[in-house]
Amino acid sequence: MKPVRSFDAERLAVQHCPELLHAARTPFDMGAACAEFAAELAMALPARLEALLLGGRIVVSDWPAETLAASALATSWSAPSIHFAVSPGPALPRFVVSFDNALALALTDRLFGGRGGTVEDTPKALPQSAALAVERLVRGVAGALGPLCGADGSEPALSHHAVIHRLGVFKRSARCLRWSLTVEQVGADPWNLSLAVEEGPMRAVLEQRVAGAARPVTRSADPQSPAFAAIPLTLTATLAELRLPLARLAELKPGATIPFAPRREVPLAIGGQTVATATIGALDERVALRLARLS
Amino acid sequence: MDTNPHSLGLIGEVMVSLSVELGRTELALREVLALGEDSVVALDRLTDEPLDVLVNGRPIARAEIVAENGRFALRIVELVSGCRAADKPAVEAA
Repeated sequence: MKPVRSFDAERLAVQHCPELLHAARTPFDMGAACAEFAAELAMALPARLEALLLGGRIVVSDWPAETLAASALATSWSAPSIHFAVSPGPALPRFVVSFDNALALALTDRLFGGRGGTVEDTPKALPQSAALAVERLVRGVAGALGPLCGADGSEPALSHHAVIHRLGVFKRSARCLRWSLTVEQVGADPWNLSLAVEEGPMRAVLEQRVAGAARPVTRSADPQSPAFAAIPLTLTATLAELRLPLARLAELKPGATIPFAPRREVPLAIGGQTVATATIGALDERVALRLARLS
Repeated sequence: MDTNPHSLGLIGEVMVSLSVELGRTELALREVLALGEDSVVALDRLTDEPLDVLVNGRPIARAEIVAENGRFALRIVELVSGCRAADKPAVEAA
């Protein structure tokens, strides 16, 4: 016999904090989250790259991320190379996409319709034209990274330098994650896309991705809904504020006067926060305010 | 404890914030959201009622507003019960 359950489609779903439900919550698996991120990136990249590298279908394979210190990451690029700092969006970690100059020149050739043959004498400094050409590829990578990191759709910011630490993306003591993705296209040599990011900020993104996948659709509170609209708020109007020494205060007695400079407009506050300024008047024998400016 | 103003000693110079509250009112959130420029908000204070004088948020006196030589001033009408300032200063037990 099948179990019978009654479903209420309109039932309000919430997500209690993990501390409350820790027993039912599986711990965050950084390795699995990294692998899932790389796999999704590998799926998103071909569409971006095929628009730039004309030819056959592109297949991107991902490999497990390696963890290394930023200083080790920098020294791993001993050959002349070019590094692009990619900021997919505000408050998101910055990535570094790196190419050695030989690969950058081969990709430049392919971007202009060539076969991407290797150059015998690789220059130490990449010509600006090649840097700009490879930047188009990096922009494609950034376009794939943004949605995976929860970017808001704003244009990713890019900068590049021949020395990785001169980009200012990683502190030397930082721990970094590095992915290597192999890009294969029929009729062309495969190449590796190297992608690095600081581990701490990336962990936050990955945790958010995992939490987001498990989170039910949420609705923001509607201030016009009856439950919110009826919340009582106390508005307070203050005519003047002065500072006095305690000794002067202790001398106060009926009849004592304290001069003050009245404000042209008095502040109207809720919970100590000024929400408007107003001029003073009267209405039906009560003091009243006419709002002049809303904060 | 003697709280004569002259016996405050070092703390007599301590500055405190004194505010004069014109009045207050309670509105529902929907009414607050509907406020705009030129909206009129009536306060809980009658036009002939003294204003509250607060020190660090605590009422200590009620006062009327007077004009002295073309300048505005607060004139203390009464001290809040339990606060007798110069005559018989009250000190709340901590």
